[in-house]
Formats: sequence, structure tokens, C-alpha cells
Amino acid sequence: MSSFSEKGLLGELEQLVLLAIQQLGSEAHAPAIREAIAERTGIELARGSVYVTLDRLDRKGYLTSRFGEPTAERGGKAKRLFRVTADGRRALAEAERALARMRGQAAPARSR
Amino acid sequence: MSSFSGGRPPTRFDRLLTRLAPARWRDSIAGDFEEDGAPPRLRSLRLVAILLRLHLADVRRNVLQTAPGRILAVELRQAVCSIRSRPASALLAVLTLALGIGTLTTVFSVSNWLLWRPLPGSHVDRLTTIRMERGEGALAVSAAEVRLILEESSAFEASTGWVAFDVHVAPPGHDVIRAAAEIVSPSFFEVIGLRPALGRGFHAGEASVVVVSHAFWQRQLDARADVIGTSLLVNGVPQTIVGVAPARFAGAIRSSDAALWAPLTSSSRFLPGFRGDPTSPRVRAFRGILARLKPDVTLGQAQAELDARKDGILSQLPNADRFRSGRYIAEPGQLATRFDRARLTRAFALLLGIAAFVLLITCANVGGLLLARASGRRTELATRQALGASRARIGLMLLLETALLTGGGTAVALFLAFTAGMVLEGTTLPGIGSLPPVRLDLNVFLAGAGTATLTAILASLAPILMAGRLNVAGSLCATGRVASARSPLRRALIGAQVALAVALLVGAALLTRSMQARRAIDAGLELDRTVTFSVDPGLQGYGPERAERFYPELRRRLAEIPGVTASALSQLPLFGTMRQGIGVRGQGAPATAEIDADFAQVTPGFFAAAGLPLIAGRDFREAAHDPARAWPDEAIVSESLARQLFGGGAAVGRFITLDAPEDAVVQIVGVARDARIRDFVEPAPSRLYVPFTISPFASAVLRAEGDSAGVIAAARQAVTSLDAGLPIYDAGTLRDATEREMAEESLIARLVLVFAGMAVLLAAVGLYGVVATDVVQRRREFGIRVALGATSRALVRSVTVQALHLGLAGTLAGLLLSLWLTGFVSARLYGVDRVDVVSLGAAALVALTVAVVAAANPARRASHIDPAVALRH
Repeated sequence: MSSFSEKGLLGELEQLVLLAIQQLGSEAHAPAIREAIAERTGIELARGSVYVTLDRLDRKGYLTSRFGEPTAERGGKAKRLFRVTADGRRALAEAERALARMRGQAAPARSR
Repeated sequence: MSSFSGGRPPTRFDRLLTRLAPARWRDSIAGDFEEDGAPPRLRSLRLVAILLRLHLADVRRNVLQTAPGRILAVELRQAVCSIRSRPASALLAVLTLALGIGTLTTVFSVSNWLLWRPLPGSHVDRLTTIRMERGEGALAVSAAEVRLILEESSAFEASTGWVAFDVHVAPPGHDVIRAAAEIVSPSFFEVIGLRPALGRGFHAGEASVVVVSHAFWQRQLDARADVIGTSLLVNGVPQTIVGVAPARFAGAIRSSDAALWAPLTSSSRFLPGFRGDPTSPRVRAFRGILARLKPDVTLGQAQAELDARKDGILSQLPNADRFRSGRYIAEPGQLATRFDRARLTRAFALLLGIAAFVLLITCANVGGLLLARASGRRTELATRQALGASRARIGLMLLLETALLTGGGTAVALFLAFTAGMVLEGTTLPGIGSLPPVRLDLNVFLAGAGTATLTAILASLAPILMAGRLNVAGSLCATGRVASARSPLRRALIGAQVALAVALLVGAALLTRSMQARRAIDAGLELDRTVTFSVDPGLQGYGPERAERFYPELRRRLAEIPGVTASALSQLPLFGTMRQGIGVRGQGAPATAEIDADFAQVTPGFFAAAGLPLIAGRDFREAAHDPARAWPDEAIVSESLARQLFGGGAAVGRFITLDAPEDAVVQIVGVARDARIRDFVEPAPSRLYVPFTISPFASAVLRAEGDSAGVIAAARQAVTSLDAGLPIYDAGTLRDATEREMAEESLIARLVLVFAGMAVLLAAVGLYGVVATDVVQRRREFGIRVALGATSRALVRSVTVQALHLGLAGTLAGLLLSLWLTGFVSARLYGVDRVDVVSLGAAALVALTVAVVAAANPARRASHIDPAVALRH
């Protein structure tokens, strides 16, 4: 039985963003995340929401970021690339389990 | 990913924006946006939205989650709630602020442009006007002095000469026009700090080049981007366009409206007055010098230096001794003639005073509204205090609420002012010209917003400031029982508003009536059916022989225009010219003293064309004057001159002696009725008419039956058919000419009217607010009265009478105030007394009507009060 962490359960937006980052792998910067969510779900998030959500996840320790190589088409500006931390993966799993239990489904196997 | 799809380089604005991003995002957001292929404007909008969200999130986290931050958040929410719970008075406050500050800013900015034409350059604050003054007048200066003042003194870093002329300009594909040109030193644009909108300024030593004004480029050159390097005929001489001046730059001198600038070096090629080398030290071609102070030099230091170096400068000039008694005077800012300066300062002071009035009214209004809000919520505040809220926290809530209201009001004001500016752009004011893009005066806006905000804060804190004694029990018990909010302070504020509005109304009425009186003047001429225009063949380089062929031919063609029943030429236009005087002495007359008369040269037919009857004798005869003779031998006198010369005796047939040419003797052949020619507001002067001789310029006078616009078009055609390069100017009826003469008075009258209208509107809003809250607070009283049998008419009367009392008190105060204030406009009044019963009555009537109208809706509500509901409260 996992406890409800002091950071609270992940919100929908947070889950979407975390999942998008996981799927994008090493290419997860803000516009790509927004686009990935739009492609898979049809939900067009406001750009500002993506940035604010990334900030929040970062503060909760669910994400880390690093700067990628500067590229010419970005005017020599580096991308800020995100990766989900172990805590972030746990939080995602926790949120999914909580929802699944509420629906009366079996808890999915814990990844690793 | 779409990284390659449509990257666009960021605009400067975007770059500035990304710098505002939180540090952790700064670079990557900039990069993310270069990937975005959206149009720049949309992209900037998106950027702004994101930055707002990021910073708001930060504020929420960093500020609002600390202990004081939480207090702030709670009180902010309270403030928003409070605004929502009384939306009407909040909306009124916002609207009042918006109208007051918006009008103030717009009208001030527009009139500032109209009256002053402030320079747009980047060094304007260091610009200095230098003139050579001797005795009463200013002397012209030479190009050498412009240079020497820079070289000999260490106070200035750049200097340029300046002089203005009218020229004929023939833009390809458009009618040739007469326009103002400024002849300057090559460094002119650099001195003011102006970057041309297109092309460049002047290079030293180049000739036959011009820079055209932005307005000229847009209107006459169709705003074509490829005008640089093309040729423009100036007085019939081709000049190359090298640049277009920035928008809003209308010339070095205040109130000028130049279409083009040319360097002194080429001026002699197209200006008939400038022969030889105008840059020679012997030629004092410039009217003044515009110089730029070095950054750390004060005007006083510059003046001291000019005084010290004067002799050194003069010693390097030819015939220096003639100027030894002169003095170089340095004055701050732009060039302005002495006449202009005095006139504009007066006009400006008047407008500034009136703008301050409107601001006062706005403040009184907002103060009143907020006081009403405050008194309406004493229960609420007392309850909060009873529950343990400190005065500081209640104060904070009130402050936040006020900040939201004034913030909203000023934002709407800014929006209104911008919109008004856009709507007004290009509006043509008769006799003044069309408005350029209006640049809002930030100082006035800030002064207005600041004063209003301060008032609002004071008013909203009044319950706290006045009542450390927020008497909890008293406030709680007294709720709604008595008319607690008939606060004397509020009533005084509303009364003051009405008074200010009435005073403004009186001023507006006086100015409007005096404009009417001016328009009703009987000039002794036929103003509406006489068409006039001017031509200046001298500017095109016509010599006497060519002019002698030109004028008779012009007269013949004008006479053939359909609808013209009489036509003639006059050397000077009928209105708005300098006076030409002549000394006249009657032969064998009782009065031996010389009489100073106005002097005019006219062709036969002038009196018929101008609608000016001859009361004795005859008109001049065609070809009576032998051009070989220097001076005519016939004259026509005005009736007042005839009376001055010969008393009651007949004048026709008698001889008079003129003082110029010395002792010329001419015979009087006719007497014309007096007419207010030259300045139609002044009484008719004594006039002497002589036959028209050869002149470099002339004005045509045509009696037009029917459509005057058609006659003007035909006249333009007639002139063009004689010389395609010769424009006609100041074309219109004599009525138009008189309107041109009154343009400034008319503008001021109209502006004051706009301000007065604004003031009345604000006062109406204020009155409405007071009466409406009063009705709400007296609900119980009205309920009781209805229960006791009062009719709804009685209630309506009660509310209306109360509003009328306020209105009447304010009106009386306003009328008294106006008796003092109209002293400031008395110099502008014509044909109407400073104390004018009609104006006073009209203002009072408007104010009282407004009071009744403002009370109508609250009164109706009072009469609909249901006693059963009202008594339960």
C-alpha cells in the first residue's frame, strides 16, 4: 500500500507532460512536449501552461533538465531538455494506481 | 520535429521580451520561439502570455505563500469581491477616470501639436535659438556667423541657420502648389537630431538638393518609396530629392508647416530674392540660428560666452561696425517669432488652465464616488473590525481596491486616448490643416493619472482616516435607519464639480458667442459670393515685361468664366495682410494735417466684384493708366477718408497730395463705401485706392453667382492654361478667408466647448452617483412614506428637488466663479461682454437640466419602492 505523498497526487496536466517527456526520450524540450501531447491526444495546451507545469514538476523534483547543443535554426540558442527522475516515475505510477483502484481495476504491475 | 519548418529571426521587441523571462528559461524560450513559424505579431503576443504566466506563477509561489503574501492575497480577494458586490459605482469610478484622464491627455496632446508643433528630434532638450537683437528687432544673420558662433565659443557643438520662404512646388502627377520651404545650413537635420524617414540629410557644399516633409511625401508624392534621387520642380527649377523628413517634423519654427528644406547653397537658383552667392559673409540670409548646447553647458553659460565672444565674431565679418550695438541672445528651444511666442503662450496657458479644471472635476468626481462606496459599507467594515481585523488590514483592502479601480481607469483612459488619436488622425480643421498622427503627451497623462490616483486613495481611506473611531456599535446599529451617507464632504464635492462645470460652460458660451459675433460682422463686402485667390508670378521669375503681358490676359480669362459677373485684381489679398500705409493731404481742404490711410492697388471692376458700392463718382477706367508713368493720376477714396479730408464737402473732382512718391498729386474720381478690409474685426480703416500697376504678385476678386467651388476650379484652370507651373493659393470665398483669419480663436472656442461638455458629463455622472446612493440609503424612509400614503409623484419630487438643490448651489457657486475666471478670456472676446446674461443663463440652464436628468432614474426607482420590502431592512 503506497502512501499519499506530501506533494499530493499528480494533476492531469502534470501526468500528460511527464508521459510526453518519457516518450520523447532525449529530445524533450518545451515545444516538442506540447506537440507530442497534441499529436497523441488532440489537446492543444497553451504554451504558457507547458512552461508553468514544467517549472512545477521541476520544483517537485520529478524532472531534471540540461541544456542541449545550440543549433543554428534556434538562433544559436540551446534547447532546455527534460528527463523524468526516479521520483517522477514513482509519482506517475502512484497516480495511475490510485486512479485504477478507484475504477476497481487491478493495480498494474510495478515497473521494476 | 518541426524545427526546420519555419524559423523566423526574432524582432527587436521579441529579443527585449525574452530578456524579461525568468533566468532559468531565458535562453531556451528565445530558442523555442525561433522555431515558431507564426507571424511576428502573434509570436510576440504568445511570448507576452507565457511571460505573464511564468511570472504570475512565481509571484504566487514566492510572495503569496509567505505570511504577508497570504494576507495580501486574502485582502486582494476581498477587494475584488467588494468591487463585484458594488459594480455600478466601481464602473462609474473607472469610467470617470477614463473620461477625465483620457480627454485631458488627448486634447492636451492635440492642442500641443497645433499650437507648438514640438520638435521630434533626439537632441531637442539641448536646442537653443540664437538671434542677433538690436533695439526692438532681431537682425538677420549670415552663414559665416552660424559657423563662427560654433568655432569661437565652446558652448555649442553644432549650429545651423534658418530662414523660411514660400515656394511653388510641382510634384509629378499632382497640381502645382504653394508651400513653405525652409532654407537651412547643411547640418540642419543633424543639429536637431533627426533621422530622415527615407534617404539622408544634406552634405556640406552640395546644391540643388531638397529634403521633403513626410506629409508632402505622403500627399503629393503618393508615399512612393523610390522618390529618392528623383527630381522636383521648385519655383520651376529642378531640384533632386535626397531625403524624406521624419513624420511629425513640420519645421524649425513653431507653428510652421514646411513642405521642404533646401541648403542655402542652392537657394539662389530658385529664390528670386537671393541673387549672387548667399553664403557670402556679406549676405545676411538667415533669420535665426539653431544651435545645440554641449551636454554639460547651461544656457546661462552659453549666453555669457556669446557676450564675451561677440566682438571676436563680428571682427571677422565685413562691415562689423553696423552690428556692434547688437547682442546675440540665446533662448531655450525652438525658433519662434516674438509675436508667435506671446500669442502661443497665452493660448497654451488658457488650455492648460482648462485642462487642469477638467482634472479637478475628475478628482472631485472620483473622490465623491469612493466616499460613497466607503460610507455604504460602514457596516461591513465595522463588522470586520468587530471580528478582530486591524485597521491596517482594512486599510490595505481599501488601498488594493482603489488600486484596482484607478489602475483600470487609467488603462481605459490610455486606450481611449489612443483610439481618439487614431480617429483624429487626418482630421482637417478649417484654416488650420490636417492633424498628423497624434503623439500622446506622457507627462500630462502621468500628471493626470497621478493626481486622480492620489485623490482616489485619500477618498477611499477616508473612513479609516476619519474614524479611528469607526464606532463599531454605532455603525452596526445605525445601519440603514437614517440617511447616514448624506455626508457633507460628498455633497460639497459634487457641488464643486457642478460649479467647475458651470464656470467652464460660461467660458465656452462666451467664446462661442464671440465667434458668432465675429461671424455676424458686416464687413461692408459681399463675403459669401465673392471668390478670391492669389498668384505669385514673381516667384516663378517673371520680370516686368512678362508680368505686363500676364495680368491683362489673366483678367480676360477670369472674366470669361461662366457664373462670374465681375472680376478684378488687387495687389494684396483682402484679408490677413500687412498694412500698407500712405500719407494723404487734401488740396484746398480745411484739414491741413496729413492723414495716414490704408493703401490698395486695384484694377477696374474691383468694387463691383467685391460687392463694395461706389457712393459717388466712378470706377477706374480701363487703360486709363499709362504704364510708362511711374504713378497714377487718379484715386478713389473710402467714405471715411473723404470725410477726414473734406468734411461734409464733395470729394469727387478734388485733388490730393500723397507723401510717396513725394508730393504726387492725384485726382479723386470716386468715393467707395467703408469696408473692413485687411482685418475685418477692426473698424473700417480710411482707405485710398489707386489703379493696379505691375506687381510680382496679385489677388483676384471674382463675383460668383452660384457654385463657388466650380468658379475656383475654372480659375485654377485659367491660370494653368497661362502657365502650368504657376499655382493659385488661398483660394476660396471671402468668407473662407475670414475663417482663416479666425482659425486660432475658432480652435480655442471649440476646444473649450469640448472640455465644457466633458465637465458637464462628469458632473452629471457625479450627481447621478450621489442621488442614486442617497435613494438606496433612504429606502427605509421612502418605504415608511409610501406606507403612510405618499404618492409616487411625491417621492419623485422629493428626490428631484434634492438633486436640484445640489445643482442650484453648484450653479450659483459656478456663476460666481465664472465672473472671476472669465477675466482670463476677456482679451479673446468680441462683441460680447465679460458678464453676459445669455452665457450665464445658458450655463445655468444646462446645469439645472443636467441635474434633473441625472436625478430621473434614481427618482423613478424611489417611487417604485415596495414598503413591505423596504421596511424589513
